[in-house]
Amino acid sequence: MTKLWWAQIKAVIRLEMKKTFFARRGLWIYILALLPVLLFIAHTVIISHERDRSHGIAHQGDKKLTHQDLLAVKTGMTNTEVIALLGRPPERAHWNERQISRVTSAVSGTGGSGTPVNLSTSYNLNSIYTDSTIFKAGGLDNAGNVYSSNLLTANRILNGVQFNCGPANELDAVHGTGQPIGLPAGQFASLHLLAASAYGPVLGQAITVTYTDGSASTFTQNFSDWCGCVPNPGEQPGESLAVAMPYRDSSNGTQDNQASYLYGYTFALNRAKTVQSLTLPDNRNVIVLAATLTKQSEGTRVGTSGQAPVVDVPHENYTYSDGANNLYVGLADGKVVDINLHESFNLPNESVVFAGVFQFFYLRLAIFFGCLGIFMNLFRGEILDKSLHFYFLAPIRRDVLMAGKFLAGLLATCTIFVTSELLQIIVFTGQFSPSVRELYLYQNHGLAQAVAYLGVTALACLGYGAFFLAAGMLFRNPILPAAAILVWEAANPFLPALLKKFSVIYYLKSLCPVDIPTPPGTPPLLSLLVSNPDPISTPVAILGIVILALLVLCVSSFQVRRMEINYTTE
Amino acid sequence: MSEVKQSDRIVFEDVSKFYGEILGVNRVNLSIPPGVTSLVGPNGSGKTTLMNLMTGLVRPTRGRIHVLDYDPSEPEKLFKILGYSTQFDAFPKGLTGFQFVYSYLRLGGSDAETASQMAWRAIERVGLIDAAPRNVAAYSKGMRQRIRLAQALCHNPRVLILDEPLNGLDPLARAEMIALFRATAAEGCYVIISSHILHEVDAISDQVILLSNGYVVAEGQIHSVRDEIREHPAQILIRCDRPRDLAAKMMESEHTIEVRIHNDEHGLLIKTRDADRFYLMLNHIALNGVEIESVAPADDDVNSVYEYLIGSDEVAR
Repeated sequence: MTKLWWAQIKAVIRLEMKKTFFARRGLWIYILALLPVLLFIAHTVIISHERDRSHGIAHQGDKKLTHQDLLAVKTGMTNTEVIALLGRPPERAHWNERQISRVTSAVSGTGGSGTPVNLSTSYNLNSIYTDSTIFKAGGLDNAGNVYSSNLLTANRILNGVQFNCGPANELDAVHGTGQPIGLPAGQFASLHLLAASAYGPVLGQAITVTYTDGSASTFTQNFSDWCGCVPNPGEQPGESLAVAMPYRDSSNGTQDNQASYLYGYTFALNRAKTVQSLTLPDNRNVIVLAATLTKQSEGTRVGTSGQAPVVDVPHENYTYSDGANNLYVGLADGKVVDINLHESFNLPNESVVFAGVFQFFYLRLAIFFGCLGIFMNLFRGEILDKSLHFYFLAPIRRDVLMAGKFLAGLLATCTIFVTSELLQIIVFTGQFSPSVRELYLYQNHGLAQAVAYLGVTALACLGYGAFFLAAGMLFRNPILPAAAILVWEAANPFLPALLKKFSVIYYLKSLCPVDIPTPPGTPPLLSLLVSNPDPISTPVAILGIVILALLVLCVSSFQVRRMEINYTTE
Repeated sequence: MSEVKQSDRIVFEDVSKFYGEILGVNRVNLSIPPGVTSLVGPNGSGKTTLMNLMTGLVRPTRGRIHVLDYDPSEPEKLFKILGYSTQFDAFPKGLTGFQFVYSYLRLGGSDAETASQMAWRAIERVGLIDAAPRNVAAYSKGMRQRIRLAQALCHNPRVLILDEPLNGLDPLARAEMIALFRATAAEGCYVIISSHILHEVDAISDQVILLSNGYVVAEGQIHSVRDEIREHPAQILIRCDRPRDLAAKMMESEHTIEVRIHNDEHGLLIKTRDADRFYLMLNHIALNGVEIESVAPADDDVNSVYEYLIGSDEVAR
C-alpha cells in the first residue's frame, strides 16, 4: 500500500511542479525571492567600488600606511601633527564656516528702564542651564536642549529696556498655555518680550493684553525658531535679534555647535487704560523668557538690523587609506575635531546586517508571501479554475492527494527560496577578499551560519506551507486568513507562553544563527519584536515546527476528505 | 431502513441532497441494474446531482449510496471500477490530450508503460489519436467531450457515468459514441447517461429514470413506465389498405376513444383505453380480410411518457 501511495504522490508532484514553476501568477514569487539577492549584489558592487577607491587613495599617499597608523590619529591634534604622522593627505577638502561670535545685541546689565513683569508664578519650562549640567527635564524643546546660562546671563538690556530672565537650572520660562499672566497695575505705552519658538518658526500667534475695564489689545506675531531656522533668525516682522549664542546645552551635560537665539518683540498698548493681564497663545512652541512694560519715554531703540556678528572658521577634511580601510579626519581651525575610520569590512556588523535582511525581509515577508502564493493555490486555485474534480475522480485517497500536493508545494518553495538563500550567501561572502572569506567561513562560524540559514528557510516553507494549505481549503477568500496569519505571527512576542507555541516564527526565531542586538534606547515594544527574550533549543525548535506542521496537516487531511465539488458556489 | 445487500446494483436509499436551502434531490430510492440507464429531466431536475452523489463529488445530506459494493466516500476503491465523464469543461493547465488521460492513470498508481498503453487505447476508442499530442486548451468542444470520455473509459471501469456525453458531438461522432455505450453495456457494464434530449435516450437506454425538480417521478424500462400510466389512452398507428373499414369496426368497441384517418388513406391513428383488448380485436379484424401492413404504438417513447408525467411545459424547457 505504501508503494502505491508513494507512486501516487509522485504522480501528483509531477503534475503540480509543472503548474507551480511555470504559472504566470507565480512570477511575483520569483521577484520576492530574488530581491535580497539583488540587494546583496548592489552592496557588493558598492563595496568593490570603495575598495578600488581605497587602493587609489593609498597609492597616492606619501607613506605606505598600516591600520595601526590610521588608529594613531586623535582629536585635538593639529594639522601639522597629522601630516607628520600620516604624510600629506591624498585627498583634501577645505572650506570656511561662518560662525556667530560671542557678541550679542542685548547687553548684560541691570540699568535698563521699564517695569519687568514677574513671570515666576507662571514658569512652566526649564530653558536655561549652566554648562555641563546633566538634567532630566525636557528642556526648551522638550528634547533635552536648552540655552546656556554661561552665555545667556539673567539680566539683559535691549534698546534700553531692562529684561530679567529666570534663574538657571530651574523653571525659568513660560510656554504658551492660553492662561492669563498677571501684569503690574499701571498705564503703559509698550509691552516688550524676550521670546522664541521651538520646532521651526511659529506664525500668526495672538498675544493679548487685557485692561482692568475688561477691554483688550490683541497682537498677531510670528516667532522665529530658537535655533534660527529659515528665514534668517530675527527677520520676522516686528522681531529683532536680542541674543545670539554659538552653542546650546544638552541634557547629557554636553554642548553642541548649534547656534541659538533669543528675540525681542514690542507691542504698543493703550496708554489710557490700566493693564491687568497678559495672555500668551495656547501653543507649547511659543516660549517667553522675560517681559517688561514701559512708559512712553522709557527705552531707546539702538540699531535695527538685528544681524548676529559672525567670523569665518577654516575647516579641512583629510582622507587617508591603508589600501583597505579609509580614515576621514575633520579639522576645524587647524585642529582635529572629528575622526571617522571606515573599515572595509567588519565581520560582526556584516553578519548582523545579513541576519537583519534574513529575519525581517526574507523570513517574515518573502517566504511568508511566497508560501501563501504557492500553497494556498494548491486547492483554492484549482477550485477557482474548476479543475479540482480531475484529482477527485482518480482512484487515490484524498489524504494521499493532499500529501502529494503539500510535498509538491514544499519542493517548489524550498527550491525557490533555498536557492535564493544560497545565492544570497554566495553574493554576501563574495564581497570579501579570499582571505577574509576564509576567515569568515571557517573561523567566524560563517559556514555553520550558512547551513543554519538554509535549514531555517526550508523549515519556514514547511511551517508556513502547512498553514496556507489548510487556509486554502478552509476559506474561500485567501486575503482574510493570510492577514490573520500575518498578524498572528507579528503579535507572537506579545502572546501568552502557550499561544506562542502555535506560531511558526516562534520556532524560527530561535533557529536563526545570529541575534540582532537592540540598540540602547530602543522602545520596549520594538525591542521585543527584534530580540528573542526566550529562545528555545535547536532540537526543540525543529521538533516544534515539525509537530506544528503535522498538526495543521491533520486538520487539512480531515477537511480534504469532506470537500465537495460545487464550483457554482465558489 | 433495512441493510441493502445488492452488490450487483447501484443503490440509493432515501437519499436527499440540499445545497444550503436549495434542493438538489429529495428522497431518492433507486436500484440501478447493469445496462444503459438514462437519467432524464430538464435542466435543474437533479441529474448531475445524482451523478455527483454516486461518485462522491458531493455527499448526501441524508441517506446512503452504494455503487455495487463500494462506498462513494472511498475514492481509492470506487474509481477503480468507475469512470465519470463530467460536464465540467475545465482541465488541468498545460496538459495535452494524451497527458490528461495518462496522468489520470498515473494518479491511480499505474506504472508509466501500462498507463501509456491504456491511455492510447482509450484515446483510440474515442477517435482522438491525431489530436492527442496537442494541448487540450486548443481542442474544440466535441474533442474535449471525447477526451473526457477517454479519461472515463481508460481504466476499463464496470460503471461508466456520463453527464450529457453527446453534447457538442457531430452526428457521426454521436452515432459512434452511442455504439460505444451499447457495446460497453453489452459487456455487462453499468452505463449511466444523463440527457435532456429525449429522442437520444430512446435509442440508447435499457431503462430510464425520470427526474423533475429533484424528485424521481418514474423509473424502469420505458414500455413498463408507459403501461403504468393508465389515465392517458394508448395511441396506436396502423398502416392498412382499407382504413375507413377498419375505423368503422374499431368504433364499435367501447374502449376506442378516437380514430383519425391519415391523409394518404393508407393508415389511421387510434386512441384506446385498453390496448390489450384492442390487439385481440385487431387480430380478429385482420382475419376478416383487411390487409394490415404494420401496427406500432405512437406514444410509447420517453417524450410521451415524460409529457404525461410532468407536463408539456417541463418537456419544452
